[in-house]
Amino acid sequence: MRFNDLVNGAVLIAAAVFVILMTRNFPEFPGQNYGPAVFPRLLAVLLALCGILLVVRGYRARRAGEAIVAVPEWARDPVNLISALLVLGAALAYIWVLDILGFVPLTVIVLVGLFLWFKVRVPVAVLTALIAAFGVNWFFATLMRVPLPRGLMDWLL
Amino acid sequence: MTLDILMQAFALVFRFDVLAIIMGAAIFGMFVGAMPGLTATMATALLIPVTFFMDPVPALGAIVTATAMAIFAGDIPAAMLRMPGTPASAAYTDESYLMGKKGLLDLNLGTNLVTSVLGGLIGVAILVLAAPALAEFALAFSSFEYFWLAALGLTCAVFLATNDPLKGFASLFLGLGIGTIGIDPAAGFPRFTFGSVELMQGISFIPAMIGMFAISELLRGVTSMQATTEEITQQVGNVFRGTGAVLKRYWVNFLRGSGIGVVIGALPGAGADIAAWISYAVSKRFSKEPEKFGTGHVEGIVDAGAANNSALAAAWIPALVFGIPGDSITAIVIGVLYMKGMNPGRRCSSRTRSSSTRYS
Repeated sequence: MRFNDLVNGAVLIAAAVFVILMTRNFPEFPGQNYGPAVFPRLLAVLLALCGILLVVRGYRARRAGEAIVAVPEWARDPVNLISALLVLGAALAYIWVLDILGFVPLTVIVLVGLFLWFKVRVPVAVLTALIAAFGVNWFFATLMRVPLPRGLMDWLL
Repeated sequence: MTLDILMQAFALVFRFDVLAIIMGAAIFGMFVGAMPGLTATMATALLIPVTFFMDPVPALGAIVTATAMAIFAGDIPAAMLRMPGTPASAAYTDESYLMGKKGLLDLNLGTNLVTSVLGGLIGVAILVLAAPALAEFALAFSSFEYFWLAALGLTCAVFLATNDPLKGFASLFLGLGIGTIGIDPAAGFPRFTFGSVELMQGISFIPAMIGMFAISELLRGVTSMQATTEEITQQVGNVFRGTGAVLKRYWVNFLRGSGIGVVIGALPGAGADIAAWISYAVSKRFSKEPEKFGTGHVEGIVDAGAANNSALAAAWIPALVFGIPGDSITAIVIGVLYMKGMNPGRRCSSRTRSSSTRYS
């Protein structure tokens, strides 16, 4: 999806303002000219400058007839949109519920869900998900000694 | 760089176990490179946990081999499926695909293979010959020079990576801004951590890479699931047939591509993909028959195929001499070098120069 530079510029300016507001409560060190706030503020000002230039360019493009959002071919089909949201949702699921569910159960759920959405046959989907989940778990948790969250695994297995 | 150090290096590398690991890494690199969306950087990142258990020589041998292989193997799906296997092949994907459509798939793959290998060797030769000289030079570098070198690399990235410098600058500032997350190195104050312990150590390179490249590639993939890709079935015969004639005709292009690759690869922040784009553009600009470009013409492929592999080797020059990564691959490898007790950078010339140049 391609936004007009007006939107991009506005987002950059908002980010810059947010950074400057955040740096307001950064401590200063007595007797020193530079504290932890200097570099982020400098970047925020430069970012805001880029944002302003983008807004100017976007305004000109708007005048010349460019749409605010150019919807590409793939996004007209709701199936594709749901696919994209499912992938992002899977990433969010890992962030939010990984510790509760544990690596293997969540991976099986996510993979089976995605496979079924992409019209893989049920036995193939379940088998692949199980092999992938236990394989990755074995590789990292057993072989590489990376602690993966066990979650429900503790009383399931 | 005396000859006996080089001999010692050969003795270290030409051992059965090291060669076996290199062979395995080559197959792995080929697979990763040929899978669209998995890059040479990804191959390196995936190899890192495995190299924990290895000695330094096979570990670095595996990484160097896998990346060189991945950059070449990226040309294969480019020619067959019109999908670059790695970003370094993106510059001439259309050209390669059109050559394949004209029935020149063998010649295309052969040219890619030969220019990749020879370009890589030229890059390595320059690395071996020039890195010690550069190390002497690097000893004179102080914070000011490092600052301007980093500034040069970042501005190069801004102007080369996109054709829109304004957006390039915006993403440069965004990236630097993400770099400020975590404990402030000067004052020890946690910036932008929102109370999260994980964010206190900052956002490191690999999660950022996976987030930006892998997730976006996945999204691109799932949204084009329904679109059918045109399939071409072609017999791959003897890929070396005709490549000699191509090299003989375009040897200037080959040398120019390798040269551009070395220079761009040695710049911090610019790697094999940028080298391929630039050398392809240079090739078109100075070609006697620029109208043939974009119709399945081999000339630009000679330039760019040599450039991306020589850039890969040259990226080690700033990595080993300054401790500044020439590209994302060496950025990861610098971490491995530290873990193996070799500190690249200015002091590498006094302490580990011989060993670090040896490994590449």
